[in-house]
Amino acid sequence: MSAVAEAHGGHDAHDHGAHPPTANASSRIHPVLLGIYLFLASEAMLFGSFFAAYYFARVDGSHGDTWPPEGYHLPVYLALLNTIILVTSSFTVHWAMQSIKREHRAGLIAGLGLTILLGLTFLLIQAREYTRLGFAVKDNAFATTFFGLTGLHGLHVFVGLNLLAYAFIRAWRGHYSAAHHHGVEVPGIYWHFVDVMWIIVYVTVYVI
Amino acid sequence: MATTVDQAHVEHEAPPKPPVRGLRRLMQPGWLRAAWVTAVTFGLVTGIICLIRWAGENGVASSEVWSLPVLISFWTIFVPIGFLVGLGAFDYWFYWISGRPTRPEDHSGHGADSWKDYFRVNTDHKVIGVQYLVTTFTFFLIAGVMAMFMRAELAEPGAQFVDTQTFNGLFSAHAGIMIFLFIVPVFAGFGNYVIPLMIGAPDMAFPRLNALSFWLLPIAGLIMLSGFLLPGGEYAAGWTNYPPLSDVNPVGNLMFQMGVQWAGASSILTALNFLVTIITMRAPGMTFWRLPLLVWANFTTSLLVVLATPFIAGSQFQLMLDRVAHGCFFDPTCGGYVVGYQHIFWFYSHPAVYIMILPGFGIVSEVIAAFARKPVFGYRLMAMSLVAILILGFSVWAHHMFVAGMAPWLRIPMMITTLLIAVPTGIKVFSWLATMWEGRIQFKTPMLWAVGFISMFVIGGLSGIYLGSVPIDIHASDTYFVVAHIHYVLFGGSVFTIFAAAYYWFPKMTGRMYNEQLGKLHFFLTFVAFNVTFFPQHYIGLRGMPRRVADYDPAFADWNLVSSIGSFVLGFATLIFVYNIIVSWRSGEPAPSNPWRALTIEWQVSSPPSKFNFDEIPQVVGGPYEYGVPGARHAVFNGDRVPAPEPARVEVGH
Repeated sequence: MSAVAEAHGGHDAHDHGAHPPTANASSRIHPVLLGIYLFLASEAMLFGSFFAAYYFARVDGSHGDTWPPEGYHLPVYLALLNTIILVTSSFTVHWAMQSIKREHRAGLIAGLGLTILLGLTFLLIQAREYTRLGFAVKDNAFATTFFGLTGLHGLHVFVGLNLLAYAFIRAWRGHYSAAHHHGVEVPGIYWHFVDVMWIIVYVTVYVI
Repeated sequence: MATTVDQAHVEHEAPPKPPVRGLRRLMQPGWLRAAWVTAVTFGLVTGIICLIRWAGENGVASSEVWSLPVLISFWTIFVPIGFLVGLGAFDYWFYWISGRPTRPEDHSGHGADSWKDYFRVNTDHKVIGVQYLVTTFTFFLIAGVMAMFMRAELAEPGAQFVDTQTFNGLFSAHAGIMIFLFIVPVFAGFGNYVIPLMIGAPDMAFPRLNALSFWLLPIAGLIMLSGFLLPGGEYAAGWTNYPPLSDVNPVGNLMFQMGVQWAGASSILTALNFLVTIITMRAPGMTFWRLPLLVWANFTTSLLVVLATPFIAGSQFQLMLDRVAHGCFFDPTCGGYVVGYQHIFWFYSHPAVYIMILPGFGIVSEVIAAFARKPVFGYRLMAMSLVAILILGFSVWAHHMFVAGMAPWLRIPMMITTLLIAVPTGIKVFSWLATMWEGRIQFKTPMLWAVGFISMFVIGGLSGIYLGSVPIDIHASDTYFVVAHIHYVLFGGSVFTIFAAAYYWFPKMTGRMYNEQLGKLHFFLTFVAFNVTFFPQHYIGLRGMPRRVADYDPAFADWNLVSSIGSFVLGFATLIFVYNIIVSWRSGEPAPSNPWRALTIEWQVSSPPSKFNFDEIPQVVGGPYEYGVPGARHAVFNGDRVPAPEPARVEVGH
């Protein structure tokens, strides 16, 4: 409120204030973190719908045939390697997070960089797996649900890599500090979610 | 007075930026940039897809390269993103991810000084609320006209106006647009406008996300409507879009699937925003047990949206994979499970009926307490019954599938949970009645709609109990009895509460009063015409007239004619509403800040509220409904200066 506006006085001048009043913080959780947790709840349900479709096809659609159908094999050990890569990347992103909390900038950049490299490796291995599987989406319900679930997850890895890349650019330019690092924390939480989802996808599709 | 306000205004705002000229205008966020970015995206997507298909198929016949289903899938994903980029919905985020320094918010995207500000990316929750309401009511009128066409066709047996496939398209689009572009988002519109005011917040938690989620909505609407222009016509498998029919219908069917994705994304983002706002931005003293019931209702609804809507997104993605990539999710010929679609779809779409009614419950609680001048009866139980409906709502989906060939053991559990939902709903109905009991009721227009809602919703609820019982449902499935039921709960239920809210908050939103006589005429005409239209459909439904068919047995002719006449009166009554709103908005009587003498916070600020809602965040000291309680107060403002004696906006220009 400038002095000029106060001179005109009264309620009217106040109505045109150029700045909003500061909102009351009625919860200890930061709005951005609550937002990403709710968003991930929504994402988990999206995966849920694909798991539902998977089990409908596997239990009700296959009429007691073997699953996977005769002649279909999945590269279980290659996918296990991928699992290890993704789990490792969860640790590296956690390292980045812990580094910035201690104002340790090099650790932040190295941690984010390693996470991005591991994520890219995961996607490349998955792409190579896709091209050498020997079956396509339209073959049968096994193939469709396989590509549906792993493809949905691959898309999330891609989105997560984008978010990490933005955080990396900003970290490289020296933006984050021990007090302000939501820009790292949100992609980090998202990345952990992608990781946990992969473990469920891996166990469902490849192992059992 | 007016000059004083203007001077203060100029002193306070940042100096206006110099106008942009020449080619630079093409780079400014707005409609010009939206137009060319949209066009460029369209061209790029078309080119890239055709190129990939040409390279992949090694230059086969042009009909193979040019595949309409594939192109439509990619157009409807990427062209809207191009439009949003052009309009400026992502500008700040692009700036942010490029690594430049954080920019202090200058509020240049906030508030509206002229009508043009309603047509840009605006971060003010009040502007977004009005944008939502105007857009959704436009879709309401469009889908209503479709209903008029259907009733004209059904007025007598035989084919008169439209062919059967067009009729299928009409009822599918009528339902799809009414549900996903009117009832669900219109409540988001009211919530957007009112919730931050009610809880004492200056805006929503994520204003830019809020603006984005509004602009997803017209996109969804245009996609859904554009099916009429495609070869084979609009999507015509009903709004439920069951395979295998939706797999073999003309290509317009994709327009439903993609339209729902955009509308669903919009409502998930808005719901997330509501939840974060309600949890983290309440005024000091505003505990959960002091929240107005509208806020409670939107809180529970938003939880439903966040958790359930991904299921319809998933089901439509799977259908698209089946159709465009020839997948086998729901195709029994290659191992898919066709009823699986219905499970996944209804796991969203049954909670969705509560998404479409819970905010209405909240509105009715506000209106009835204010016009009966009494505290809401059983406030805590009212809030808890919303939570009970939220939880039970996830356990009843298969009651839509009693005759679909699902596992028979699911029938009885689903019937029991369905009937259980009558308990929390009954708590609400009886609490409203008890609120009115011995109150000093004023039958202003919003109150008429609220009371009309209770009576109509109870009829719809009773026919719902019939349909929830397996033996009757087997007889009445897919008949006009279902049509009557859905319209009693969605029109007599949700739409009545929407009209109540529109009249109740109209003075707050526009600063002007609506015409009370026309409002009452609108109510009584709608009430009578609604019953004339839909009540006979119970009877002809039980006699065996199937729904979703353009022609019918001449034995049903008389009641269908009655129904059609009723529907045309209903359409006329809606025009009275539109006339009343437009004329009152332009030249209605200036509204005081609190015409209903209500206690909730939005009525304690000027009409319309100032740009940032409050000078200072109010202090909440009591419950929101303590009408007639001596000395009770809900909120205290800046050392007791507010309510303002006269709002400033009204005096300008008078």
